Amino acid sequence: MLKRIEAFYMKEFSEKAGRLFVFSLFLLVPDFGFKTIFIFLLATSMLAWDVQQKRTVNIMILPYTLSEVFLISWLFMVSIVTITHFIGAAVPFGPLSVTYLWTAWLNSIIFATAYYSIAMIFVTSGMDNFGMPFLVLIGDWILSSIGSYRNFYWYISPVSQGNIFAAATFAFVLFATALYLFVKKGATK
Amino acid sequence: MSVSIKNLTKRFGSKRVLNDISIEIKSGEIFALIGPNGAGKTTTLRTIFGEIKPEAGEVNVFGKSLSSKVKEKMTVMPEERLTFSRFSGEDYHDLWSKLYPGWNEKIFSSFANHFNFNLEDKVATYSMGMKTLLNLALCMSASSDLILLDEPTQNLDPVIRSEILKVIKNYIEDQENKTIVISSHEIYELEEVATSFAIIKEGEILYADTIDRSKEKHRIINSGEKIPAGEVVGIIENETLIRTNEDVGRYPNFKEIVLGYLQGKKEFIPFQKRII
Repeated sequence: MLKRIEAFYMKEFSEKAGRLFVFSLFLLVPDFGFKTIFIFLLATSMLAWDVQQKRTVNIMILPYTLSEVFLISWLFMVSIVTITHFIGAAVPFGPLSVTYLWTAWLNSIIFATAYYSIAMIFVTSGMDNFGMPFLVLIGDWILSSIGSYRNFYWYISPVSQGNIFAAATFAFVLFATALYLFVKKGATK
Repeated sequence: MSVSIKNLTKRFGSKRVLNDISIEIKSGEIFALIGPNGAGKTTTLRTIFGEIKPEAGEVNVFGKSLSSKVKEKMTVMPEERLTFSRFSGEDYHDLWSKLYPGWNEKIFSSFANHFNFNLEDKVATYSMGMKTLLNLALCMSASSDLILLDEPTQNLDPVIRSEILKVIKNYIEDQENKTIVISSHEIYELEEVATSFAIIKEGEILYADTIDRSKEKHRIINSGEKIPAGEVVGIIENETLIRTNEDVGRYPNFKEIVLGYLQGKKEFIPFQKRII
């Protein structure tokens, strides 16, 4: 399995080098609010972009199953978010409090997971990987900014994450739905 | 059995691309999937290696459903060939040698030396022929038990075509329990290498058999000759392809069998000689 992960990372670093470099610069900033849009751009450039561009055949001819491709692509995104977050916190933006550092990391992972899944749900349903998720993001921003404590959505929203456990559960539900749809429908739009 | 496909159905939107197809491919065969463009050949291959999920039906490879372990024993040359845009030949070599436990460096080196692969160059800059040869070298160096080749000789010059067909034949003849599935519409080439075949049209299998058996089961009857008991398959120019057990007419060749099934009983003669 490690060899399959290594090979997938090698392919992603080579094929998406330019984008990854640019996004990574912005992801170095540890503040979750600042980097939300860059995590969104990264999440929609992962597997959803490959499906949208009909480039999945390149990876599916290799010894990966659909669920492995979905999970390893997610793991790759999480690695980028995590590595840039901690490098940013250690070098250019440090030192930061431990609680702030880990909360901001968790916020980033929950947000990245939710939008990776949303982009995959749209793309496997025949829509695009960027436009529709972007509309959802705008809706998410608007809905989560209304009324905070009295707004149920504020607790689970990937943007506001009013309750980190509720938001993580919501992101996991989206993730499981996206995985189910991808495995059921295959790597085609 | 290398590949077993049962009652496979696939739609793209409202269009049914595969319609309840079933195919059995035995180990040791070079199996040709023959049909016109848009017949469902590529979709069938894509369901075998798991990129596409069918709405109904079942695909088993080596008697098992698809998993990464099963896929380690099969390799694929897709119609698009090798298209990681920034990968060099060396990158592909590193990737495939990591992923396939049966990787054989000697085989890859012999391909690289014989065909002079520029492994340091990006594969995107290779000609179609070189991309095909590199893809074939990767498939064969992985020592896979099943190789899927989608239109392997498409857009290639005659010399490279002949090299590829020779390599394909050699892979099966010199090793045990290896299977190759070729999707193509190049009837002449397929007759040279294939041992069994299926004719597919509009997502349906019209006929499947070994090449030798198919010739035994069919006859060509000239116009004016008495039609024997059996099924009239199709009309080829002024002759008729019949599926029969009777010893009449003459044995058909592979091209006539394929054309008979694909053309059916429709005849199209737009420029008939006028007798004054």
